[in-house]
Amino acid sequence: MVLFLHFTTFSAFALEDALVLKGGFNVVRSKVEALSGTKDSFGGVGFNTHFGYKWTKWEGTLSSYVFWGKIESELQFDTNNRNISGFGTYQNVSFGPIIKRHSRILSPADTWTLYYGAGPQWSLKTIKISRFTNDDGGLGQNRKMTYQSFGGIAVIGIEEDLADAKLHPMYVELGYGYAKSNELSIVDISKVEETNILSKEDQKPDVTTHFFILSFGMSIF
Amino acid sequence: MLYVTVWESLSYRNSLLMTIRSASILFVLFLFNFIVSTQEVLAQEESAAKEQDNVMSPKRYPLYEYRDRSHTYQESAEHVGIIYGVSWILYPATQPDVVKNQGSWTKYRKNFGQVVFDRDEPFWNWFVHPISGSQLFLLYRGLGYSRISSLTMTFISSTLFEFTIEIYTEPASVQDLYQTPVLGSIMGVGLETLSLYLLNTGYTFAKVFGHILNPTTLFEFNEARRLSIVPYFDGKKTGVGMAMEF
Repeated sequence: MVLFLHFTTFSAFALEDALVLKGGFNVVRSKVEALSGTKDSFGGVGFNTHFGYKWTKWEGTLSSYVFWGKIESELQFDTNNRNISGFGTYQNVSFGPIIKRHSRILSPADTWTLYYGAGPQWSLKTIKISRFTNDDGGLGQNRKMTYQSFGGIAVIGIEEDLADAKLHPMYVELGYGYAKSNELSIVDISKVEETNILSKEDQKPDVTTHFFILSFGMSIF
Repeated sequence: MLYVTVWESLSYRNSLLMTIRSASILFVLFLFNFIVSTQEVLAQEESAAKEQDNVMSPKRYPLYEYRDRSHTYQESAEHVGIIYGVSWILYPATQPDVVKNQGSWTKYRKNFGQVVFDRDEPFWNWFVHPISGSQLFLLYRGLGYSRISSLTMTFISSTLFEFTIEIYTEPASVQDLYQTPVLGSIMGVGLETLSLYLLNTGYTFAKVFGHILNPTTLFEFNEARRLSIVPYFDGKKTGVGMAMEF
């Protein structure tokens, strides 16, 4: 049996000139590098959403990637010239525009399009610290550390080429993201209804985050 | 002796055969009559049942169904304006402590135009805002907007809220600007499908639950509410009955 894949560019696609909302789930492999060589690599799961407009070959979306994982190695951070360390559950919430280009793939079974794209991403990473220490040795409880990051994401994927978004064409996508932190905060989470920011560091604590993300989902409408 | 017995037996045998034949004929006649009359009765009963059916159990049309239609710019602006006005009342009504203790016009001026990542707990970002967005989405669906148009209108309404109402207490949030309409619309589609199914079952418990999931279906302005049209025909006259059910 011979599997024949033919890459080409066609001018006509089934779904064109339409607003589309897509959503799906993702699995992630992420690596966080903090101060003094401390780092951790972990897996995670989450979801992704994309709202945008599809022209003929081009698609512009406002995309969001969210995933949760768990940091098990103690990472070191610096805030207000105090060295703090901690680990715990990790949350990544990122947003940004992505521009994608579609090409038609012909296969014996179905008609799919190959797409690739990239865009900037602004993100907020949160580590809900289960154990948190600072220089004076005090243990903090009910704290979470959040750091804003800026970076980018590149994606490549395949999507079913169906006539209407209501037929829920499916997509499978592999992406790589990178971000560097630019603001770090410590937040008191003892009260759910109040957001109490204990400290905020505008300097660059040099926390870098890489992740590989495998997403799959469909057009919702 | 044996000859007499045989002769007598033959006579008896003939009589018996005659009797059996007569009885058979009678039985066949009876059976025939039974079948025919039963068929007639059955036909009459079926006819009566159909007539009963037409009167008592009419064909049921869906009572709730979203129908997309076009809107003028003026109509859309009116809808957005009304919802914006209601938001000014709902925000302090639902969060009186926050508005009273943390809000001020000085803060309003300071936060105007700013966009930040909020540090709110997951309860707000993953539950409250998507629920709010889903109800906004269903509200616009009830006003006749298509799904994609409802998402767009929800985007407009939530953006207006973030940038001009909530800044009384905190600056506009990136997560809320995106997740309220997008996650809210995804949740709204699920609630729409489930609530319509429950509302159209006709069972009281299911309808109550359907209204709880989709409260806008209780209101008069919701265009998804339809008249129930009941055709009527009894062989002599035809007619139609109409009823509104909620």
